[in-house]
Amino acid sequence: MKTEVTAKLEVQDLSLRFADKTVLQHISMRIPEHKITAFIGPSGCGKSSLLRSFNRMNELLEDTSTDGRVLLDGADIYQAGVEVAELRRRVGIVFQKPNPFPHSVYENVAFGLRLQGIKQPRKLDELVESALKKAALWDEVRDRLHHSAVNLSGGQQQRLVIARAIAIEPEVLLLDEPASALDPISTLKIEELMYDLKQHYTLVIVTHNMQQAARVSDYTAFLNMGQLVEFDETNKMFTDPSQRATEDYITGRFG
Amino acid sequence: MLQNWFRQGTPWIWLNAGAVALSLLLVAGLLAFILMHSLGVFWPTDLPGHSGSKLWLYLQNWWLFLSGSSAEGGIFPAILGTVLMVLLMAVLVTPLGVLAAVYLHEYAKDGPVLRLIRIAVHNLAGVPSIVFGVFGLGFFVYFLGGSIDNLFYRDSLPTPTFGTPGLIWVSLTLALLTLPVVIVATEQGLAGIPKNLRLGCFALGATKAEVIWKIVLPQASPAMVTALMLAIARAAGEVAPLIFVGVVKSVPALPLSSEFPYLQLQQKITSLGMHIYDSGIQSPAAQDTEPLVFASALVLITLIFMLNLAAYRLRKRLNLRYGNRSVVE
Ligand SMILES: Nc1ncnc2c1ncn2[C@@H]1O[C@H](COP(=O)(O)OP(=O)(O)OP(=O)(O)O)[C@@H](O)[C@H]1O
Ligand SMILES: [Mg+2]
Repeated sequence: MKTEVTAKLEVQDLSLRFADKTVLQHISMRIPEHKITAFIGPSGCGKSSLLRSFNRMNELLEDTSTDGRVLLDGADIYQAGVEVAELRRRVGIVFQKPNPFPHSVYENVAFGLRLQGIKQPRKLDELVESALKKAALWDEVRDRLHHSAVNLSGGQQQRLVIARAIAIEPEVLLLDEPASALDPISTLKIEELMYDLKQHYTLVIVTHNMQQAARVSDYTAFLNMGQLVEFDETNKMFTDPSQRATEDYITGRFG
Repeated sequence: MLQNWFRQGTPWIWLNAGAVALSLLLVAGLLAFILMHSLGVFWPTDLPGHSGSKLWLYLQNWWLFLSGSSAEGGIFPAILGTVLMVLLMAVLVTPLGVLAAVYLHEYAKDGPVLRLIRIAVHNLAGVPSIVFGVFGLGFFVYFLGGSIDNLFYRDSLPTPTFGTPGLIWVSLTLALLTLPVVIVATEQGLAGIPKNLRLGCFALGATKAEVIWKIVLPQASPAMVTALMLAIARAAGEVAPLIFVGVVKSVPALPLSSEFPYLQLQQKITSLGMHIYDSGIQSPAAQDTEPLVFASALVLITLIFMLNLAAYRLRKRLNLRYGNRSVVE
């Protein structure tokens, strides 16, 4: 990787265990600022787990232990004394399975804003609308803002949780398969959103869609069985990977 | 043919239906029995002249029964006592039970100590209620009440103010009695909240306290109301343990006052359960009071039903508010 880009996140020798099962092994990488980094790899290789370790979500799951360091702007997020809530506000995450709160559409998006202490109705209205527009959901929900979000379709829920995450403007946005339940048009809109967002934010996405990885990401990391096999500029990864396994996976000859 | 009959599960369905029918029959039988014995009690026997107003007289008799003081043969003090002791218990047990459940489920570390506490709580539910009465007398009345008297009511000693059975001790004893029910039911409610919701809340930068306040407690509130319904139903009918701590046959005055908090917490009360027990068995003229016993029983059942109905409506509103679909649709 070229060295002139600054690293927003720097992963140093990170390992993760669930009970007595090692899920990530000695991973080191630098996630560049204002870029989109894509994680690819076979199911169960640890992509989601790696994503979750960037804002310490793993420790909320049962029986996990993390070794190594993750630096955000140079400061280790696993250090004692780190305000985890503040960290998660700065590093937002959208999970693989959409998990809207059983509140209204509006309250879902306003949730994080209210946590930040924003109370003025007009300000909230404005921010909620802008987040929903960015997530390409506004037109579909503008008439049912105050209806339960649980009644939205799967794809709408997926965009709703994206809107919820970007409403609080995190510095880093972690998206776990953000387009897995979306039709091509919504997918395109989400990809455009990612493109817009990377001007100001750092994005990390997980995807099983090779075209999508090639289309939207600047850097691509290939993981397999808890190890980082290869990490390079997307162009290089897709045209001239240095590892045989990477090439096999990308071209679909894997396994 | 027979084999097929079994394979289709038909006997199973019949068994289930039979169990339902039997339960219904028993409940309906009980209700019918009480209704039969109580509804006719106040029907005027003979009334020469104006037969047209028999119904009016009947209703009037009921009203006198419900609103009259003990001296007038009415049960108003018992109704009021029951309502007060149960409501006060609810006010005491809800925060205590909910806080304990939140602590046990959300904060306490899993381990032998937690398991021991859980076992203790479950066992508390199995302790015979009379034991709570004895405990209430020893601990609440003599120890707590005695201490309060020593500290604040020195002047009037040796006549005790709080160091004697009374409403507050009745409600505290009931709160202790129903505490396990509330803790266990609330904990079940907490356990039923999907992990995903909590994670989603944490992911937006919420602290643990914020997750509990904004997601966990609202989501668990219907379960808490259910817990309270169970507690109320259990408490409203208790008699034996309460004889130790402040429920008596008849009271000279109602436990009300014109000043804040509008309650005479230290005063003895009477309750419907006590009234039923007393006039059914203790009264020298049990023969004559028997119909009234059934009337009182009907009133007690109705009261519990109304309290539950209120709780049910509250739960429905909470469910609607917090978007629990299974109830909304
Ligand atoms: N909560 C958990 N408890 C125990 N093991 C888990 C848990 N979550 C994930 N794992 C295990 O960790 C490994 C990595 O899982 P992870 O979800 O990170 O994979 P993934 O690459 O995101 O897969 P997918 O593409 O299917 O989403 C898997 O073997 C999985 O079984
Ligand atoms: Mg995953």
